[in-house]
Amino acid sequence: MNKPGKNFSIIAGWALGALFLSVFQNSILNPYFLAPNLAVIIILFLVILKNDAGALVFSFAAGFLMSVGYAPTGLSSLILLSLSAILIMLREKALFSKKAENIAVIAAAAVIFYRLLSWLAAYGFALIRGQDPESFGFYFFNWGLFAEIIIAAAAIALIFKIKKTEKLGPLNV
Amino acid sequence: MRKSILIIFIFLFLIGLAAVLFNQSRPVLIFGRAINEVLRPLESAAAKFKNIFSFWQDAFLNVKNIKETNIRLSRENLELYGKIAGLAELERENALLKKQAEFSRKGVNTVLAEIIGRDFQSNRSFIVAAGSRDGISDGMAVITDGNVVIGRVIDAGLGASKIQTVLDTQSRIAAITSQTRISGLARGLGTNILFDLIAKNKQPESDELLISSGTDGIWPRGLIIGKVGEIFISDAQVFNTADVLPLLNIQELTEVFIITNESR
Repeated sequence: MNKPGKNFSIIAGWALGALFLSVFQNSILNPYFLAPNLAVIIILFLVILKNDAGALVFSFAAGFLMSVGYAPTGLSSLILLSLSAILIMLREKALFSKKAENIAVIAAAAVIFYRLLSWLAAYGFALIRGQDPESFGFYFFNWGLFAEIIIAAAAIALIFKIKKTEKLGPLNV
Repeated sequence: MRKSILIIFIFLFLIGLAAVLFNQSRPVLIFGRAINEVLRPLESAAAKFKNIFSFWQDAFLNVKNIKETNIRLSRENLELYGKIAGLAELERENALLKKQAEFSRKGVNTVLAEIIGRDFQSNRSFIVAAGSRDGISDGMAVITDGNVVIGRVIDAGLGASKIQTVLDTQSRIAAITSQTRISGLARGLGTNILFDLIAKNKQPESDELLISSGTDGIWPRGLIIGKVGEIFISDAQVFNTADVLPLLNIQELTEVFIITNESR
């Protein structure tokens, strides 16, 4: 396959993946209170693999598809794009490695940053519209946060087949 | 961050920002609805799969509970037979009173709609598989069994509609308590509902039902919003307020009724 055709296939593949992910997230996972956010996990996976462009494009598409009909169009894209940028910068500063403890730390960071950005966006929107701002506790003081961190860390560890004792050193992808 | 990555980030961020800033513009709305129409059949199929899975999951996990409930219900059923005779007389009396007070509602048409998608870890909005081609339009009230209000339609697409629940911070319902007849405003706080604007000299009773009064001209009269919970009285506040305890968990709903015509 020539290069433009290959690029088109990759973009179409990611778009299709984002489409099915949004359907799965909205219809199957979201009804459960302790549901993980698959977009955050996949972004985390792509950032650890240093596929930064993929992470950004996926953030934009997944955010757009997952929020259409629920939040102002594009808002989730901005949140996920910002999260990707933060994770990319964190990776460059902190040099993530595939050690189990590092996976747990970065999973926790990703989930906490995602919730923080979501809260800031909701808070900002409420202030602009003159509504009551949403409580900070709704995003942070609940079991959903811990469940999401654990699931995100477990999912990333599972993807990389990490064992706690394994010491692989810095990622070299 | 590399330069090419920074360019991609800025490019995508600006598109996202433009979509947010021009959220109510026609092209963005049309584009959003078109995506909704593509997602709707897929979400509908996924929701059906999830419901089947949830049914068997519950059945598997609750066999013991089901048996115990069955025994308890059988016992209660016998007791209820005894009460039916008395209730028939009360029902006749009630019907007469309703007629006298012209309280009986006119015919209400509803459309049954399946929930096919929800927002992440909150109950502020969801999508149902019914739209303008089913007679749904913006502003219609959404209820469930027993006239319990769930929310209202805020964006009716062709085959799917967005429902804003009573928990949403934009939700406002003119409300009145069922026994003490104290009026106020039920407003969503994102996670719960507050009964606000209660006159300083009035105090509702805990556990009494809160219903829509219909005085706002938006919500039909007589829909149940919830039960009055803790009441807050403070000399520093202009009005009294009270927590509203919902009668059901919106997250557990799989279908709702949309009122397509009602007497207000």
